[in-house]
Amino acid sequence: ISSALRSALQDVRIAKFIVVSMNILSVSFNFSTNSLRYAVTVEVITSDGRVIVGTFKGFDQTTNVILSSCHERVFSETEGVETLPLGLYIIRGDNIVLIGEIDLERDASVDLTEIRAAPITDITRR
Amino acid sequence: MVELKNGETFNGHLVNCDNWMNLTLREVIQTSPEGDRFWRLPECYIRGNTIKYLRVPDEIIEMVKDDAVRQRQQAPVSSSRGRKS
Repeated sequence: ISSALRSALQDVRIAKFIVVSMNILSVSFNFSTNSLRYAVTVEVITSDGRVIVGTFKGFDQTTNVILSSCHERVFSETEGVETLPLGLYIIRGDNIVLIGEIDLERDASVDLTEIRAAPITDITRR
Repeated sequence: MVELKNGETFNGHLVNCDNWMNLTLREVIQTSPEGDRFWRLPECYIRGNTIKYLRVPDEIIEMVKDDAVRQRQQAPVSSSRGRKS
């Protein structure tokens, strides 16, 4: 396949992906009247016990969430918090437990290397 | 990159998707949950409700925002999502 055709094909793939993302983002644009136009940093806890912090970009009726520039915080009882950069994420609503807004000033005043905490376990269904 | 609820990860190019987040991917590398076994699949179909999360190139966010703004300008009032040409 020539490189021109390959890049055209990639554009098609990206365009099709945009349909899904747009369904998510367009709903969030409809919901946002005045707020949500500025960047909100948010912490999401997932059903497998992961803590993900990122810039809240969009959501939809099933609470699928788009986070840009996100990173995962790994807590440990022995070492300080480990931060893993993740990039642009779409998290499916089924797996979201909690979404919380982060006060950036308070968050910056916390020294992550000093924190010792047991990691959250995943959801156990009885 | 797609991670499923069972922990398997699928890296590949997105071919198609639908409103239920079902995806078809091409040139896929499938990794087991333990990260020890790998498969190469030319093509695969993933059912949307098995997805845990999707990792996506950062550039997409720009393209989507431009598209969303343009769509709102072209079709100011439409309750249905409209047909994709």
